Amino acid sequence: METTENALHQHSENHGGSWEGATSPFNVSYGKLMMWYFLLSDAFTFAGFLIAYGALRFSSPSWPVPDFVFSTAPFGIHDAPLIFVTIMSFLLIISSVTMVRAVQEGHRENKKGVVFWMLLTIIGGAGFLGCQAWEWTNLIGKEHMSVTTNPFGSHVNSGVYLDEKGNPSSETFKAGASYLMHKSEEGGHDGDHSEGHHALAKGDHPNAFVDDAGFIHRKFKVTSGPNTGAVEIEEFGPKAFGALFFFITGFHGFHVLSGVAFLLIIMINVASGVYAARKNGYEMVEKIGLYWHFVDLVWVFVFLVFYLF
Amino acid sequence: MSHKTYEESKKAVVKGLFLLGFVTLIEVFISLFGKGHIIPGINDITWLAYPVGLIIAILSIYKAYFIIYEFMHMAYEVKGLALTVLLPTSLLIWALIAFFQEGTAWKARREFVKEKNAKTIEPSKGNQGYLDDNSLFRLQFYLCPVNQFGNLFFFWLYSVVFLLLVGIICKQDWIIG
Repeated sequence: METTENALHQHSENHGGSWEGATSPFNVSYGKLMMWYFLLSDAFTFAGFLIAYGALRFSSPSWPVPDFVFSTAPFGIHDAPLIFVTIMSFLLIISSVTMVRAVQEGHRENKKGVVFWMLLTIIGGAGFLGCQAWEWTNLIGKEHMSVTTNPFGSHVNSGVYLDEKGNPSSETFKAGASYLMHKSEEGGHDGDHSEGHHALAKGDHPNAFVDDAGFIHRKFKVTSGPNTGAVEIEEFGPKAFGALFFFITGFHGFHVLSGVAFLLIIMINVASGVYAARKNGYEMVEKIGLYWHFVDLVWVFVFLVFYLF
Repeated sequence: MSHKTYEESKKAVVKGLFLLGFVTLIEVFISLFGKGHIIPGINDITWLAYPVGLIIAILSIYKAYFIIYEFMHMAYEVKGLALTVLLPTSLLIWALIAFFQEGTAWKARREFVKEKNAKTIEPSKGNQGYLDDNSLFRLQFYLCPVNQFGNLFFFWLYSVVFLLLVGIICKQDWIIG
């Protein structure tokens, strides 16, 4: 690559070859190199979590289907699988692009340009955080998913739900179909997976069993597999799903939050002329740009593993 | 790659935006297709999950390559820097594949135990089969190509690391910059 060769040529002229010392290894500043290695270590941390997710998911007999769990969006939108999370991905991609523009303006020592593009990046990052906050509020508040409780499950065998009299209704499902267990005693759900559930008292009913926490376990008759003919109730999905989802997206969200905080600080520094005085092409903007692109990169893989697989 | 002009750089950024956006949309489309949202009932074909998963994984790796090489400027850095970051990361790809496979193996084991527990034992009439369960497991392990691939991967990895060390020791300029 010409750039490397140009740099090498200059180095050999100045220092008699890059192995003679008095040069920066790899021709980069200390700060930039250390940022790369911090990102490398962080990549391993995230990879550890995603690998744990993969191993647990593949070892479970059933697992909530992502396009069933994540099909809601603000303003009452439901039955829109993966749309909201795609919008979140686009927000991060756009913020990455504005970050590249900020770095380019920094190389031209254009202070105003850097501030403008960094501001757009911050807005994109904050927008992503807002969307993630909505997603969490929806899952925790409306659909009652938590780190220990997972009301999203999937059927292992085919079956037919029982109606209010305890007879098989017309609502059938195939093996692998997902369900969400709702809580009783709630007024007015809007725009989530519910279809208008009435308040049911705790205990046994012909068509459902309501447990002490208020979750409605609907009853169904099994029509395939070794247990055919038996009446079973919906069970909670694998506990690990809730824990993994909130932990991994929370850890990523924490990185986005700290990224936005650092971007804000550095943008204020840019505006007050700290980096113009250093005359290094706004290298600090480049370094935080590396961090921001890493955050986007991790999201690409979290998005892939959690939502697309 | 020579340094771009300002105008060229701005155009490259817009190109990058459309590229990433387009690939993301394709990924989501393919994923929804594989789950049966585009053409209903497609997800009854159980083996479809594998090629769909592979395609979206490859698209994601392409996005990662683009972000690292263009947005994070790795393409313009000294080769040695790129190697110190990317070689350890490539270890993760194998770790990911291996542990997903591991999870599947746990599930198979658990179901095997359940299935065996449900059976009743008949008194043996001498040799009842050609292979006992232990030998079967060993045979399945060695037949599975993924398990053979692991050895090959490490052979490749150690070769690359060895060459890198040789390059550093012999003071190749392209490594250290």
